[in-house]
Amino acid sequence: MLILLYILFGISLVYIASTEKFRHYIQIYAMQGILLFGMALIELKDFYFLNLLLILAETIIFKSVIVPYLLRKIMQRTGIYSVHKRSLKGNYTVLLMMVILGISLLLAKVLSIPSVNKIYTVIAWFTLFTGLLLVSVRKYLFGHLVGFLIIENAVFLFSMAIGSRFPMLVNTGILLDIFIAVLVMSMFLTKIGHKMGGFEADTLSQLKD
Amino acid sequence: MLAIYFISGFLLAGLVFVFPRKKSVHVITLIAILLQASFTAYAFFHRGETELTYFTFDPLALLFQGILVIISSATFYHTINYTKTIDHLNRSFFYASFIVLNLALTGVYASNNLVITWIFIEITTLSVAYLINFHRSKTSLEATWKYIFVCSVGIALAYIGILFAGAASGIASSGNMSFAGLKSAFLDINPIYLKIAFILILAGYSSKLEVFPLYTIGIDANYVSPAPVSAFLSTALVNGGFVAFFRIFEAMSGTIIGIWINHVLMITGVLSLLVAAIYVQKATNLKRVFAYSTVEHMGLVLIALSLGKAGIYIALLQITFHSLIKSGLFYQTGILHRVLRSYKLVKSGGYLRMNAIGAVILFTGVVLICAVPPSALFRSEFLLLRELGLNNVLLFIIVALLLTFIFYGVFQKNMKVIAGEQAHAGEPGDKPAWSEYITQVILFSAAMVLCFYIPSFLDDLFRSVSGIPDGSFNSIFNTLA
Repeated sequence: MLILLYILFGISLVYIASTEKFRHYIQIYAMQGILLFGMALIELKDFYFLNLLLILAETIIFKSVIVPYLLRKIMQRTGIYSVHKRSLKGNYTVLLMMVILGISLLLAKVLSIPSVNKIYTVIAWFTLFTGLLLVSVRKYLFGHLVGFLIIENAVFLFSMAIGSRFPMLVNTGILLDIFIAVLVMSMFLTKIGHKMGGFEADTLSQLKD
Repeated sequence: MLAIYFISGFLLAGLVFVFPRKKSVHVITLIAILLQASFTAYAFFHRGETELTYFTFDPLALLFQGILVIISSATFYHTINYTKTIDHLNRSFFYASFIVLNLALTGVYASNNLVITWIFIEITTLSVAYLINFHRSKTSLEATWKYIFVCSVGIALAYIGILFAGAASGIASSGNMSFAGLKSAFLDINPIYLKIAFILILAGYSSKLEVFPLYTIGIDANYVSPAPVSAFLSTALVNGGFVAFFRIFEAMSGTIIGIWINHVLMITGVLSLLVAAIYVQKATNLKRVFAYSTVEHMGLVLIALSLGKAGIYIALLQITFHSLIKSGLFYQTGILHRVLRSYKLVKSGGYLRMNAIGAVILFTGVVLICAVPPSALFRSEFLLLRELGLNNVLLFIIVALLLTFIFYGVFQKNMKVIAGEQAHAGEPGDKPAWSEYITQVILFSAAMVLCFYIPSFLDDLFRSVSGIPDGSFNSIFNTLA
C-alpha cells in the first residue's frame, strides 16, 4: 500500500511540473495532501487522538482544503489560468524531471542513513528538486508560490522519513508558521497583480544597482 | 516571567487594534518596550536559567537581548515621526508587526532548541513584511515579496539541513533537538551528512545574516523600508540570523568537520566582502551604500568565526559595535532624507550647508562605520586583521585590500552628499528638531567609548560565549596567550 502511495506521489510531481494549467496545479497539490495523509497514517507509531488530529490538520485540512481554496481565489482574482507562453514546454520539463529523479536516486543511495527509509528519502529529494525547478522555470509568480508549497511538502516528507517525533507544541508551531507564510504570500501576490499590472516574475526587476 | 512577557507582548500587539488612535498606539508600544526592558533586566539577574523548557538566558541570549532593547527603543522613538500622517489601521498594523517582531527576536535569541529557533526565525520573516511594505510603492511591494519568498525558501532549506543533521545523529527520532544534545550527538556521525547539513543551514540562514549568497533580499528590504525600520533590519534582525547560525556553528565546530567549516566560513566571508566592495562603488543610493556596508561587516563576522575562540570573541565585538553604529547611521539617514528629499546620490549634495549639525553627525557615523579610530570597530577589525596576519598572510592581504575598497566607496559617496555640489533645486526640506539627534549622539558616543574601554559585565558576556580566558585582549595590543 505504501509503495503505491510513493509511486502516485512521484507521478503527481512529474505531472505538476509538466502541466500548463494552473487548475491542475491546485488539483494535484490537493491530491498530494491526501497522499501525504495516507503515508503519515500508515507510518504512524504513536496512535493517539491528538497526534492523529495534527496530521489530519496538516495534510487534509491545510494542504487539501485551505491552501487549494486560497490558490483558487488567487487564480480567479488574477485571471491567469495557465503558465506563461515563454515558460519551458511540458515535454522538456518531463525530461528534466527524469534527470532530477536520477539525481534523487543517486543522493538517496550515497547519503543513505541506516535508520531512514530509503524510498522516503528518494521521494523527499525528488519533491525538493521539483519545487526548486518550478521556482526557477515558471515565469508567473503563481508558479513560484506552488513551487514553495512543493518544497514545504519535501520538508514534510523529510520529517516523516527520519521519523521525527517533536512534541505537539513544536509541530503546531511549524504548521502555524507555514500556514501564515502561505497566507501572507497569497496576500502580497494579489497586491502585486493590482499594483504592477502583471504577475510575471520579470515585473519584479525595479530594484537593482 | 518569559511566559508573562510573551503573553503580554502578544496582547499589547492586539491592543493597538482596539485603541487605534495615534496617542494610544504610541503609549501601548511604549509599554511593550518597557516590558521588554524589564524582561531583559530579569533575564540578566537569572542568568543561565531555563524557562518554558525551550528558552535559556545564556550569555549569548543576554548580549543580544540587551542590544535589542537599545535598538528597539531608539527605533520606536524615530518611527513616531514616520507614523504621524498615516491612517489608524495602517499605524496599528505597523506597531503590531513591530511588537511581534521584537517578541520573535527574543524567541530566537533565547531558544535552546534548533526547531524552536527555526519557528521564531520564520515568525520574524512574516512579521517584518508589513514594516518593509510601509510605503506601499511598487518597489516596496517588490522588496517585500522577494524578502518573504526567498527567506521562506531559504529557511525551508535550512530546516531540511536541520532534519538531515538530526537524522544522521539519531537525535531527531527522539524529538530532542536541543543545542546541548546536538553537540554530543554530532561527535560521531559521518562527516558527509554534517557537511551537507551545514551547507543547507548556512545557505538558508544567509538570507537573515545578509551574507553571500542570499544577501540581495536584505539590501532591497533596507533600501525600501523607512529609515528606522532599515536600522532595525540591519542590526537586530541580522543579529537574530547570527544567533540562529552561531548556535549550530558552535555545535558543529567541535566535530570532525571543524576545519572544513572554518574554510567554508572564510570563503563565504571573503565573497561577502567582495560583493560589498563591488556594489558599494556601483550604488547610486545612500541607503544601499549602508546596506552593502552591513554585508561587509557580516562577512567580517564570518571570517572572524573561522579563527577559533579568539575569532568568536572578535566576531561578538564586531557585531555589537556594528549594531550601535549602523542603527545610528540609518536614523541619521532618515533625517537627511527629510532635508534633501532624496536618498539618490545624484540628487544629493550640500548637506553641510543645509543642515550643519546633521552633516557633522552623519560624518561621525561614517568615520565610525569605516572603523577609523576612535571607532569601536577599529578595535575589533584591528584584532581581526592581526589574527589573520598571524594565521594566513594571503588572506590578510585580500581582506585588507577589500576593506580599503569598501572604505573608499562608503567615504567618497558620503562626502559627496555632505560637502558636494547641491544638485537638488526643489523645495527646501524639513528642519529637524535637535531632539531627533539624541539617539545618534548616544549610540555614536557609546561606540567611541567602547574603543577604549569595555565594561566588565559586557566583557564577561563576550568571554563566556567565546570561552577565551580572562585577561586576554584586555588591551588590543596584547595577544591571546
